[in-house]
Amino acid sequence: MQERRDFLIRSGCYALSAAGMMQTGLWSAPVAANPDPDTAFRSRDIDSALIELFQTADSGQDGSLRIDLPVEAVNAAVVPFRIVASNTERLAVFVEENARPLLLVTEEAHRRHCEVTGAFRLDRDSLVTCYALRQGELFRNSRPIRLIAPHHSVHWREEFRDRLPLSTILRAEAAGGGFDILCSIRHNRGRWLVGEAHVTRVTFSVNDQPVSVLECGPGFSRNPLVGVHLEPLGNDDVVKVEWADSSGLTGTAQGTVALLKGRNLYREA
Amino acid sequence: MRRICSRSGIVALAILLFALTAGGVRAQSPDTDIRPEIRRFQEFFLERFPSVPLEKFNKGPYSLPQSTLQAATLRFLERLPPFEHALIPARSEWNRTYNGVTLGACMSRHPPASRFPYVLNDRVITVERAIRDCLDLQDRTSPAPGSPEFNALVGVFREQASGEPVRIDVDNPALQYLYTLGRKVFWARRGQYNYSCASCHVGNAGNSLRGELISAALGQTAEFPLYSLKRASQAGFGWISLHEQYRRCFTRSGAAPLSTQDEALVALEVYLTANDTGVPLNAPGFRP
Repeated sequence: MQERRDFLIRSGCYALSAAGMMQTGLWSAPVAANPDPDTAFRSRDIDSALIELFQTADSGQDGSLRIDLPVEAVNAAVVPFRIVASNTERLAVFVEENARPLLLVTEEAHRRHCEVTGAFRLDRDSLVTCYALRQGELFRNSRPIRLIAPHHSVHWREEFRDRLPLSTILRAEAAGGGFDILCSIRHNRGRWLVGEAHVTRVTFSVNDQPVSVLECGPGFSRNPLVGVHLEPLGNDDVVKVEWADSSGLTGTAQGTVALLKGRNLYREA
Repeated sequence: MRRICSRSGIVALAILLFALTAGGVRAQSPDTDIRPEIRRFQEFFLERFPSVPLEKFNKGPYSLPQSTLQAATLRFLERLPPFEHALIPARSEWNRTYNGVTLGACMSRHPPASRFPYVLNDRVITVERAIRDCLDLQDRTSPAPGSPEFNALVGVFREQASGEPVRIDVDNPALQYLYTLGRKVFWARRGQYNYSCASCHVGNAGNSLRGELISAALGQTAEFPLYSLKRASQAGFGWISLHEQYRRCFTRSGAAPLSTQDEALVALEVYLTANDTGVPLNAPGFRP
């Protein structure tokens, strides 16, 4: 009886301490990642998208999350970015003033160092915020971007439509002890940069093992340039990229690192 | 007042055109060496933008220090520029045999792209004219000059000489004659706004117009054909040839545009290419 009473008192004390620490922010409960970001991509509100993705919207500032952006965007349809993060399980990038702010989600639990590049569409001056999940805690960093040239939404005449085929170009560039794998995707031939379809998923694989899966939202640029930094990587390793867009089109390209170093590998979809 | 200016501009242009078409490219010597003028032209920009050496004037407005805040976009996209999707099929087309000859073999009879325009049998040969002649030799009517596919072929030829300094034959009397005519086209005010090419690209180089940086006149010819992502989103394809860019400038200043490969535009090309002597080719150029 006494043992039971001690147990109840002790567990009550533990629970009270934990609640107190959580309240003061000294300890936060581990958050679990949601594997399906579709609802988050449709969300117009950042907090609800964060809750969909990480089941919490509470995050701490972390200056070590690096966001490379131009200071001024000269083309609203194509604004390049690069995210550099370490020891991260899941990354999410938001363009806060866009109608649908969630831009990109990527799972990086298996990699110590993560570098992702891409391009997004910008509706107006905005903050670009990156959220990273690390050992159950959520961290963020932001950078502002200024738009100096607005979107041009023009309806094309038929004879002006591009006659080039859908295609994928893959290239490897040596960088920082590894390789930047760059992929240029041409999937939208209609209204080229202002059309409806956008790339939804890009998968980078090395020797048939997926190493990076980028889930992209409607804010991702049409016909984008996407890239990841991979290391270690040898000349004989086979790098493969597969993509799919929201209209159901898919494409793929693959080659050895030795081949991709020398030239741009071109594949029609 | 504006109408009078516009009309006088058109009349001046018509007289210039008449002089060009009636006289053709005459091998007459203007009795002057154009080298000092080229040197003065280059020195003006080198003094105005002292942080930019001559070799770096080949990226249009992105050569200028005023582009610092925007240059990151270009640097990122240049790593794998989107025009590669058009250029790679064009390179295959370059080596395909039609009527027993490839475009590559036919164009190898010409000097490298850094030496264009040049004079052959009293005719000024631009890259576009040379490719059109080779397509005729191949008995082909397509791609039509000015089409995206044609501009991609121009890009393939020009990229083969990328990095080589521009150096046209400034001792050739026919080119010297065109140089003097091109100078008139460049400096003459015309159109509704009474602008000359120099009004923007000399006096206002480095300033902004409608949210875009104005490039310097020096080094402009080194990067054509251009691929513009903005143009791709507006018009459906991104290629802009040198003469098409001249036409756009004419239209923007409210003047009647001339047709591409018009003799006045060829003269303007000769004038600006001669002034770009020593600037390395950076073709195809790219604009985000």
